[in-house]
Parts: sequence; C-alpha cells; structure tokens
Amino acid sequence: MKGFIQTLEASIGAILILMIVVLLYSYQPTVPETQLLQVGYNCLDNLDNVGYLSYYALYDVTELENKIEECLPPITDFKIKVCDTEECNTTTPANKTVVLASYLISGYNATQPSLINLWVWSEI
Amino acid sequence: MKGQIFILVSIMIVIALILLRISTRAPVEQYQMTFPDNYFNLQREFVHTIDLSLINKESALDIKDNVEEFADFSRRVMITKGYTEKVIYSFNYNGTKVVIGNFLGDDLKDINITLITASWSKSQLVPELLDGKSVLRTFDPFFGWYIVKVESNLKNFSYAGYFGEYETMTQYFDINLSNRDMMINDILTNNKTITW
Repeated sequence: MKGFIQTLEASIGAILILMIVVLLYSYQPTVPETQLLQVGYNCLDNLDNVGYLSYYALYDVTELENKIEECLPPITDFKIKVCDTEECNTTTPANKTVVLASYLISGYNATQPSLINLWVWSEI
Repeated sequence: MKGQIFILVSIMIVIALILLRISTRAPVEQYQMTFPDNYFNLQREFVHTIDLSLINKESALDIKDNVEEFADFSRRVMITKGYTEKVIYSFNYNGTKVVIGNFLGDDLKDINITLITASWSKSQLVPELLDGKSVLRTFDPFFGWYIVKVESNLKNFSYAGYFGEYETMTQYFDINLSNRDMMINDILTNNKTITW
C-alpha cells in the first residue's frame, strides 16, 4: 500500500511537470512581423486612398482608431498617434514584438504636415 | 515520504521552467517600414501638398511656402528613420504644369536616388495626354481628376500595390539613365524658380 501511494505521488509530480512543459512550450502560431507591418501600412494606405485618412487623423482620431480596428486582424492589438513633430512615441507592451507603420500626411483642407504612427502587435 | 519529496522537487522544477520561459522571451523589436513604402508615401504627399494649394487657389509663392513647409517636416521625419531627403523643385510652363522632384536616399546603401515628376493640368477635370501617353488617376473623389506622371529609377519594387489600377503606369518605369539625368538637369536648372 505504501509503495502504491509513493508511486501515485511520483506520478502526480511527473504529470504536473509534463503539463507545465506542454503549456509553456506548446506551439503558438504568430503573425510574421513583416506581414504585420504590411497589414498596418495597408490599413493606413487604404484609408488614404479613399480620402479619409487626413480628415480622421486631423479631426477625428477616435474614428481613425475605429477604422484601423476594423481593418486589422482580430488577433492583433494596436496604438495610434498623430503628431505634428518628428518625435512621436508611445508605450507598447514590453513582452511583445511590435511593428511600427508610420505615414506622413500633408493636410486636409490646408497644408498641415503630420505624422501618423501605428504600432501593431500580435496578441497571441 | 519519498513521494512527497518527489512532488516538492517537481514543483521546484516547474517554477524553474516558468522562470526560464520568461527569461527566454523574444526581445521587443520594432520593425520599420521599407524604403519603397516610405518613398511612395512621401511622393504622394508632395503631390497632395500642391493639390491642396491649387484647390485653394493659392499664389505661386504660397505653393512654394507650402512645399517647403512639408519638405522641412518630412525631412526631419525621414532622418529619424535613417533616410536623407533632398527636395528640389520648379514651377514652370506658365502655370499649366508644376514639376516637383524629390530624392530620398538611404544612408545605409547610398544608392537609392529617385526622381519623381508630377504634372498638374490647369483644367483638372479633363484627362489629358502626357508625352503622348495618357495616365489618369483620381486623387480625391471630391476634387475630381488630375494627371500624374510618375517616373522612377528604382528597381525590384512592386508597383502593383500602389498603381495597380493604372496599367499604363508601367510603361514609365523603364526609364533609362540618360532620360533620368536629363530630367534631373532640367529640375536643377530650374531649381526653385517660379514662372507663373
């Protein structure tokens, strides 16, 4: 009986280790960074092509965020910032690989040069 | 008792594995846009800058100021990306055309020199021929049509994503060196001169 309990305890320990190893090192599909970057850039570019990017960037950033959210794959998260100087930074998750798509705009109704920075990362 | 020690050791191993996993996470990297993406964004916004000025019926001097304002801003942005940008331009042809050339060099490679010329028609709603070739492009659905001619000596770049709907554009991409030099000289000769 004593031997049986010891075997049971040892088995529990082994299963515990096995589960953690599987959990930590299991394969997690991620979006390649270059692809993620292209997707982010294309979202900005498409908005620019239909004539909305400059307007949203300069007058309605919330709507710009909504449009970008609709455009990006659901497994991604992002931050976007519109700046009128070349210094345009934000804080991004420390443990994620972040891609930065930046886009220059010249203005909407008048010349108003601005920089749109879009940081994108995969949530998985 | 031996079994309990085994469980204890197991838990310690699990903690060690978790710590190992945390310490071996990929470092955070920021992938930047490629040279052609930056370049085409830049040239399009130069076009847009002049577009806005023409739509607002601004004077030639104001157009020059607007171009310089955008050029100054974009130059500072490009420096943060490791590029050097040089913009030279001329307004000529008595107001029927505006020609702008901009060069975006990559410090790391030092070989990427590109010339863009864009021409605006005085009557912006009518498609026209440029050097016998018609290239039509919508810039903004609200502002109608204008003609833009794009030439580049860049190689190995995919233009389809940017100009895919304008198949005739491709015929301009086989610009040879002598043409390019001729155009550069033309712009250099007319550098920042305005005939309006």
